[in-house]
Amino acid sequence: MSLRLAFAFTILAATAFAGTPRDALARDADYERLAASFDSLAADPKLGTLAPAQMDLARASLQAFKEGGRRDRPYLGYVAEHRIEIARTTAEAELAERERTALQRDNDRLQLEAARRDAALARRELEQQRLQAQIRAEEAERLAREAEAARAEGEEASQAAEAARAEAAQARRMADAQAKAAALAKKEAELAGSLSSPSPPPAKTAAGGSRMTLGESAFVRGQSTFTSAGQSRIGAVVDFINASPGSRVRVEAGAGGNRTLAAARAQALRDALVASGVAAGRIEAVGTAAKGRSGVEIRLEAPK
Amino acid sequence: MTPKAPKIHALIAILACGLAACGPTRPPTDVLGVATRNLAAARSAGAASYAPDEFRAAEQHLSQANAASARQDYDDAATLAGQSAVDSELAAARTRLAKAREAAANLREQNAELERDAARHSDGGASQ
Repeated sequence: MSLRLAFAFTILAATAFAGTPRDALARDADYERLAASFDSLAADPKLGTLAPAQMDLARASLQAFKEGGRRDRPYLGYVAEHRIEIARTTAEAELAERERTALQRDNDRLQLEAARRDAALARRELEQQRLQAQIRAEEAERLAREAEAARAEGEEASQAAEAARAEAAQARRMADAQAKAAALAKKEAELAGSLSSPSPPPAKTAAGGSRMTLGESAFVRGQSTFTSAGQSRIGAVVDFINASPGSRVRVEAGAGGNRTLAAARAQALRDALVASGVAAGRIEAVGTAAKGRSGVEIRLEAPK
Repeated sequence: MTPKAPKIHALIAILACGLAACGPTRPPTDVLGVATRNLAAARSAGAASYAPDEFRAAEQHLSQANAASARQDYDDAATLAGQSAVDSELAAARTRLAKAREAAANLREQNAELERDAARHSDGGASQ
């Protein structure tokens, strides 16, 4: 405390006796230097107006330094110098931040452009892919059309084949008919011959295995009973058999692969023939399981 | 408080005729508070790495101020706290400037890159 007392006396003495004018203090080198620094900052066309609040504080601190007592000068000088530096740095930071903001705007614009470019590129790629897909689809369609045409052609060919087959069948039927006609003619000639010279071995006449058939329609569908049409043909069968006396009669029935039905039908015809006077011993009745066969075939064979 | 203080005050008041030269008798809590807050703000802004010199000065001045206050040298405490406060403010300002410049530099680089890309693409587009 004694120090403080002494200090107070010194101040008193300084102000009362030394009488150092404040103006003289203010104009000292330190102040001039700081004031020049502040003024140059304030006059700076870029930085001068960017940190007004800090400039105010710096101005005030400079003023305090100018007006401050000798005792406070080092502290006030420190503060004033720092305040000016703070104002300058703040203004520079402000400037840098504005620059950063402008650069950020540029950056946003450039990013947007890049995004648009990418989008355009993607669109172009998509369009290309769409075109390629279209081309592929057209190609597939063309191939399908060609395949269709080929199929139609094949069908046409198979139709032609069918027609050819039908024609062949027709020719075969004609040939069969001709053969039958020839056989009949031969039989007629034989009959005529047997009439003129009586004792021809009947086996001879049946040597070719003459035959007769009853169609599927002779039977009720799926049964072994005769239809009226079938019934009416039995007489013809008996006549056919009697025309070759002594021959063995083979009755072979087919029912589209149904052996049981086929056998039953063969048996039915046998029974009908026996009832009509054909010797039962002459007749052999069988049913065949052949799928392609239907109806009954009566074949006369030479006696064993 | 020392019992002598009022006597000294009275004496100074009489001798200096109201001259405001009396030393403070209480810790300069307001200035110390400002200095402490400024230092904390500078620290959280990252001044320790962006403005290490100023930040160190602020720390030293504040710790000296606290020490002065502890030994009841309130005048010195106030002066040192005031110095620490402007140290911290300057450290914070320098940090703000450094960060802004850093960000600007990054953006400048990025933008240059983007512009190169754009130029390449427009070239590519023309050649396609």
